[in-house]
Amino acid sequence: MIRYVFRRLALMIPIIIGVTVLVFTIIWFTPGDAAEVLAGNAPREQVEELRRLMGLDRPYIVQLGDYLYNVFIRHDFGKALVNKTSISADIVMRFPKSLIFAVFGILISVFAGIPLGVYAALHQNKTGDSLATAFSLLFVSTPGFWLALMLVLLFAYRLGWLPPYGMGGVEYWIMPVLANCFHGVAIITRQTRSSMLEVIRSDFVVMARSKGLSEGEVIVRHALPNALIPIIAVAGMNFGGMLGGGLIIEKVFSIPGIGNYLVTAVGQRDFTAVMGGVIITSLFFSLVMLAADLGMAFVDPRVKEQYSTARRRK
Amino acid sequence: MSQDTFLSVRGLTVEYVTKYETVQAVNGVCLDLSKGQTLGLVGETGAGKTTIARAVTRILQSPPAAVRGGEIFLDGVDLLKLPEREMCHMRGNRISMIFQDPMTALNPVMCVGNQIAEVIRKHDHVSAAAARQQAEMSLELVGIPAQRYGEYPHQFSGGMKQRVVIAAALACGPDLLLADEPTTALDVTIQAQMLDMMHRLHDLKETSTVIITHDMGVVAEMCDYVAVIYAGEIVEYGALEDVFDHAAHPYTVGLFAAIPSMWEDVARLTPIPGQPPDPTALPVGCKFSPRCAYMDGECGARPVEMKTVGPGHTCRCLR
Repeated sequence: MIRYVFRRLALMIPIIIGVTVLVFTIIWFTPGDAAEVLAGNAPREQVEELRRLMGLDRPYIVQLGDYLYNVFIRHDFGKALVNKTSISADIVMRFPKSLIFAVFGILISVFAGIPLGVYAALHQNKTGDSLATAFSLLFVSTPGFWLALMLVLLFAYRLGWLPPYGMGGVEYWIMPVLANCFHGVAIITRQTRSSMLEVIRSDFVVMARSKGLSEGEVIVRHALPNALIPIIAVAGMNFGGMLGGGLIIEKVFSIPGIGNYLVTAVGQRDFTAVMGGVIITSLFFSLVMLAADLGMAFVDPRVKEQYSTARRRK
Repeated sequence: MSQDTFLSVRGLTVEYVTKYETVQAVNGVCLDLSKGQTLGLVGETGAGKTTIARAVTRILQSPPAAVRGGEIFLDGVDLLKLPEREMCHMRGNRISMIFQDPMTALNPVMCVGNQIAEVIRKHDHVSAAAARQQAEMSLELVGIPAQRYGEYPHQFSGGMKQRVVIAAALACGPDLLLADEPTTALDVTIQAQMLDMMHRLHDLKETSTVIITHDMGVVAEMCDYVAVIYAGEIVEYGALEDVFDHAAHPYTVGLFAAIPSMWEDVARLTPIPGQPPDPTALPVGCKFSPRCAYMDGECGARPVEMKTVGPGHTCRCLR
């Protein structure tokens, strides 16, 4: 098991390098660069000069090699091209905000989505189930940023209960977290409902009933642990998504998190800033995926066995 | 109902109701079983055998299943009128059930020992450690080393899983055991072991047993009484010897004729012609009449009553 974790961690190295190369290449081929943004309406010669100073005129492969060398050998993300700030410092300051944001989002998604899904499955085709299904269908298909704007309209402008944007106490977090987690709640509700429906029909659940366990014991001890496996996978994906996907929502609420940072950096064609944010986000995404896989192994001994047979084979 | 009757099923009727159709799975079944005796329920797939057993334990999935009528007495108590809480005390404790398919009857993410200990903790109100100890003894009893307590179902073979299922069913020493095709999913050598083991356990605990099967060999091996089920009705009922040696119903006769003989060389088996009736539209009269060689005008006209053909031997046929 430990060996498996280390193997997975080692596998993350090529993944992160791959992501870096890919994103770098995409930015390279995107029209416009930081020099143009900085120079504004300056004449062509000045822009060329600036470009040369920033090293943006060198060939693709040289710049890529240079960047990879700096990041992976010297462990330095460099300075932002436009704002001249240290990217590492920027990320250290902003990432925790995004992380808190995503952690609250996923916690709410899990603790609301699972009970809702279980309820729906146990009352299949009754009113409660229809409501839960309609709710999840609605919010699975609602984009987060639209929901965010609607929340601002209602709670900030119409009712005046909550501040529309910015940072501060708990009241500033309520709307962003809600806007970010509704999608997650909906997805987890759907997943829980369908995997519970599959499980509660199975023989071992009927056998658990035949042992004289109460309905609650049957659900909590037998049905839910079996239904949990796909739910963990979905929750992991969702958490990863919230980490980076809070992007637009952070922008809407002006939360100085990594998403907001990325959106600004992309607008400024500031490739070092974009790269730094993307690398950190993909690193955490990989870690979350690993955690989800380990969670599955924890719940399901069959999955766990796969990991340890890999070790036995050597 | 005689004095020492332990389980008595009176006119049990179960239907499966869906939006489009109603399946008449069990139609007025009556059964009696004395303490320590074994009854075999024989019939082909879909005849309603499992539904009867699940109705007795009240674990039918409802909807679609609906118990339309009848009474089930266990030791004088009508199980169908018992509140759910008290029924929970019955299940696993006084009545337990062995499931048909060992591959799916165990929870794949719970270790086998805990699946047995859980029944013991529920009904005997003992500490976790004591329950574990008892569960280990149950495992040993069915021939599984106690060290394997912490292993998971996927680490066991089919036969061993079935033994775990049996150990869980017997853990609390039930008065009534419903074995739903306990050997169907197993290969022949394991079947023999399993029957042997059930024999020993039966002698040990004096449990009344209902064995559901379509294997006449299992019936001959295990049972004192036989009830032949066809389309949700008992068509013949009697002591093992009476039914085996003097089969009265044409369906029972057909079943025996279909068993290939050990002593003769036959090129083809002798099946019963035709198919079981559609359970959503059962014939009014004798349910077997459309396939019966002796059918005449009377048979299809109205329901046929059970008729005594010998001491303790009844048959649902007009002949």
